[in-house]
Amino acid sequence: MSILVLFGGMVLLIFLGIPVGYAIGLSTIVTYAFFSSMPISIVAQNCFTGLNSFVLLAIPFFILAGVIMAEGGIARRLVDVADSIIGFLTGGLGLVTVMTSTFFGAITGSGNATTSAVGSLLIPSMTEKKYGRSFSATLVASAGAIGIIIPPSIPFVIYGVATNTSIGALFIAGIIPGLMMAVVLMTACFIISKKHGYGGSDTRPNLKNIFHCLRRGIWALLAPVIILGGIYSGVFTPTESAVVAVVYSIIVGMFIYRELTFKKLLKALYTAAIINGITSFIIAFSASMAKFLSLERIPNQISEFILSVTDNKIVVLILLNIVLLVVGMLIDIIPAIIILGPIFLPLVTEFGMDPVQFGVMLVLNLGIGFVTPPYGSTLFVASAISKVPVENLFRYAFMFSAVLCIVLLLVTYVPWFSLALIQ
Amino acid sequence: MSAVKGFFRIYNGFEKWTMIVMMMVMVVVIFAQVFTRYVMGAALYWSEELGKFIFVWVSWLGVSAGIHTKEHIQVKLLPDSFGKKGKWRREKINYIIVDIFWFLTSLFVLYYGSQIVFNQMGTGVYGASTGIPMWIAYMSIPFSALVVCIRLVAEIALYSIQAITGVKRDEWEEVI
Repeated sequence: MSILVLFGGMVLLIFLGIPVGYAIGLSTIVTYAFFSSMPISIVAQNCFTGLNSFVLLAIPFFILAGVIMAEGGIARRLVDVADSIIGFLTGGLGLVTVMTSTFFGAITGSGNATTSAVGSLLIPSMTEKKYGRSFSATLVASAGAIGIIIPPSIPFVIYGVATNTSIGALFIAGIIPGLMMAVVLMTACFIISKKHGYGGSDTRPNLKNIFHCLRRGIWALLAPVIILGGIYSGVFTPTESAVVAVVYSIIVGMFIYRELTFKKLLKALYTAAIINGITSFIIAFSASMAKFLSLERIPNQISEFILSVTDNKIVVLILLNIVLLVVGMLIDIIPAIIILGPIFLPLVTEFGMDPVQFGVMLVLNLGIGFVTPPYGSTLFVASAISKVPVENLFRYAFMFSAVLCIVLLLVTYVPWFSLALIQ
Repeated sequence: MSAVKGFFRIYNGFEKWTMIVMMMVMVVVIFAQVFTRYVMGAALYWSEELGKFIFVWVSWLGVSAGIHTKEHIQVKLLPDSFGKKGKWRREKINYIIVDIFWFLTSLFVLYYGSQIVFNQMGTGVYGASTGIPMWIAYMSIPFSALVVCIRLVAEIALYSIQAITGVKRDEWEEVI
């Protein structure tokens, strides 16, 4: 009964239009009031303690780094590099979109930041080149999902905090699956472009031009090396690497590319503070809900129930994949990770799955929901940039999420893809 | 009414610049921590706690600022599902209902958040490494909840007037 009020109430409030964080907060408050002996003030207490964690500071920093990179001309140079190498192929601009999103995702930790930076640069050029507008918008949204798998990644930070898993290990585990997403999206983009006759740029790639773009873009390309190198070698914690990314992007934008003025920097700080504001408080309310669930021993009950139905690993994992796909369609990735991560982790560890591999699977699984309506966060961003109504994006959204599901299956059933690079 | 508008304008400016300064301080302090640890070999002992307190503050201020800039993530299925005719008014009514639920949640946080702050003022708890009184850090919760409540009441009033009269009032939409 309490579960019905908690989850039913939450879904109802979300569909009514209450901001997701508050929908979670209100349904949790009501559940504490009627179904728990715990004092109800615990929800207000969690508003503070749920955020009072040094690791979570990585969130505003990774958002800020993304905003500054977009303002400071770094995103554009990444586009130029990708364009000089693969722009001439069939569907060239689409391929460039995916490649740039992969680079950009290696600097910022947010799918929305990736989508909005890459989309505002490439959707207009794709429209100019007569690419279908719903195709380009959906492609940008799908490529944005790469941003949360390629490290750094805000969802990995949150999963790490919620389940006590090493965030550094999660970041490294995301590298191969992120590149796999890029490969399958590029393939899909190539095939669709061939069918619709979307051409590439007119100039053949030549070494001189590639070197020119690489030289201009070298500072942008170095950013992921510094961030990932710092984490990989154990020099930086995730939060420290995030602040280094911010300072690096300010230095490059202001003194090397000279496109980031002080005024733009102030604007970037405000923009990042707002994005952080509409994101982070969701963690606080979700923490209250997760606490209720663990006090009521819900995770154990669910895992016992599932195991009593079947103990076939493959069947259970398929069921999990389906459940998480549906959840990803309905609610935001942050609360989904905080609430469902601790619920399903004990279940999969019964089968000997590594918590790091499960983290990658969970985030990827929910990340596919970025592209799927009704709650597709990067889809909303891409729709806003391209001015194509969300409902016109469903056809391609379905196709791209289907190809991303191939990567999901590989990551779910083959531990090697997530664990190969971890020492 | 212009006094109310003036109040919102002044507060919005205050909120914006507070958030910008807090973001700056957060970057500077945590970067200083990295710098002192790896370059000078001795880490600051107070930077993590200060960073955390500012993070909580800037996050909750951002919740209020997100109402002002209308950036909160909301599913907009309901008004869209009834077709075009009379959509504008239906949207307003939907938002009024949304705002009422939102307001109630915020009111709850305001009430219990203030209790926690008053308790802490009484007992005098301090941050372990910065010595900042904990009530200052916790104050972010009721403060933000209060501003959110005020914004939502204003929004409910505005949308009600709009839904009844059918008149757009853009200048009010901008200040709230």
